[in-house]
Amino acid sequence: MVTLEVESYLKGALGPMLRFRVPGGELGRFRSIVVGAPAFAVDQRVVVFLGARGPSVPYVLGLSQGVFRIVRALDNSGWLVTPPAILPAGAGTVAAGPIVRGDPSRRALPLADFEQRVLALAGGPR
Amino acid sequence: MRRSLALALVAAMVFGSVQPALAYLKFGVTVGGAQMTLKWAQTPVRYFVTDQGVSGVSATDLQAAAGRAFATWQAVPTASIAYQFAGFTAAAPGRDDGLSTLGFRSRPELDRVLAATSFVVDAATGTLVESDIFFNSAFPWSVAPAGEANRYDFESIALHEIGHLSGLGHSALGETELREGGGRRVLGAEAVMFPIAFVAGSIAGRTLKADDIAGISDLYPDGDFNQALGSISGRVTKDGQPIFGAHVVAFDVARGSVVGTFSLNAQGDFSAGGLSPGPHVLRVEPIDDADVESFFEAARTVDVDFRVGFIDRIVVVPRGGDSGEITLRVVRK
Repeated sequence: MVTLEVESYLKGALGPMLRFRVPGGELGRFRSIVVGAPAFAVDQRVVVFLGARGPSVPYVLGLSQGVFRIVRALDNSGWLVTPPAILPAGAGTVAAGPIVRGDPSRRALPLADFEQRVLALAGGPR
Repeated sequence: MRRSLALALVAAMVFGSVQPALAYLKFGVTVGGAQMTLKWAQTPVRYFVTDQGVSGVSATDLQAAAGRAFATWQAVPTASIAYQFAGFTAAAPGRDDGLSTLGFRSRPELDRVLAATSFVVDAATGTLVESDIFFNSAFPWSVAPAGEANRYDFESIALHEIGHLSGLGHSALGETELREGGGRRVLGAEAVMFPIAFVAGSIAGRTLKADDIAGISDLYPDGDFNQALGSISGRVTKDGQPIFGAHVVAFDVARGSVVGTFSLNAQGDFSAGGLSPGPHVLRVEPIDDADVESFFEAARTVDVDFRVGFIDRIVVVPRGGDSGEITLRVVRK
C-alpha cells in the first residue's frame, strides 16, 4: 500500500490522504518484485492516475504508466513533469505520425501546464 | 488513454539495474549495501504451467507455445541458459510458493498490461527463488501458427516475458508512431525486449534480434562468446558533464544489425558487448518518447534534454577486445 498526502485532485476527490495498492512488497527475508510496478519514496511528488472497481482500495492504472514524477527544474524555476508522447498540447488530439527521439519540441512541462492538458483531456475543470 | 493505445508488456525496472560491465539493462538487487545482478544460479530453470486455458488457448496450447518461446531463448548459441518444463499446476502465477509458474489470470484492472513478470528474491542472499509470468486473460489471445486478427500472439508475448524471467530488462530499440485519433503503434523493433507490443495479430515478436542475443549472452555467456565477439565502450557527455541514461546504439555496417545500451553511471559510462567484429556507426539519443521507468528505477534521474548525435567516425570492433574509450558529446535541445 502507498499513502499520499494530496495537494490537489485533477478529477474526483478522495480526501486529503489517499491510499492505493501497488503490487510487490516484503515479507520477512523475502522480497516480491513485480516488473513494471512503480516504486515510491518518502517526499517524492507525483501525479498518479488511479482506478477502482467497486468499494475497493484504488490501484494505479497500467502500473508505472499511471505515475508521472514531478521534479524540480535545474534552475529552480519551478516543478516539471515529462508528459507522455500521446498527450496533446491542448484540447483535441495530437497529430499522427512517427515519434522522433530528440525532437526539440518535446520537453518537460511546468506542472501547471501538465495539469491543464490533463484537464482538457478529462473534459473540463476539476 | 484508450485501449487502442499500444500496450506495454511491462512498464518498469523497479529496482537497481546497473551491471559492473555497464552493458544492457538487467535486474539487480541490493544485498548488504552491494548491488547484485539478478540471475539464475542454476540451470535448467524449472517452470510450471497452469492447467487453465482461456478462449482460443487451452492449457495444452499454452504449454506448447510457452515451450517454443523458452526453446527460442535456449537456442542462442552464445548463451548457456536452459529451461525445463516441470509439469502442469493448479496454482496461479503470482502465488509465492517457490515455484516458477506461467499462466493466465484475470486482471481487468491492468487494462494496459498484456502480461507481467514477477520475482521472489531472498533479500538476505540475493538468491532468485522463483519467477512467475501472468498473462492477462482480459485480452484476446492466439496460438495460431500465422497469428490471428485482433488477437495477441501468445508466443511473442511469452518470449518477451521469458527474457525478463531470465534477468533481462527492457531494450529501447524500437520506433513508434502516434495514430490518427490517438493511440500509439509500434512501427518496428530491433529487440524482443522493447517494452511495447506489436499490434494484435502480429507474430513479428517471435524472433530474437541481435540486441536480445547480446543481452542474454552477456548474462549467461557460453563457449567463445567473449573471444569471438567484441565490445564498444566509452562515455556520454553534455556541456562537458557526464549524463546518465543516454541511449547508445551500435549499428553494424556489414550486417545491418543494431545493439543498444545506455550510459549507466554517474560518469556517463556505457558498454555494448557481444558485437560482431568490424565497423560500426554509433548514435546517441534521449529516451524522451517513453516511460523512463520502463528502463530505469524511479530514483535515478535520466537526462532526456539533448538532441540525437552521432560519432564523427566509424568505430571498428576488434575480435575479443574493446574499441577503447569513446566519447559521445551531445548538445541540449
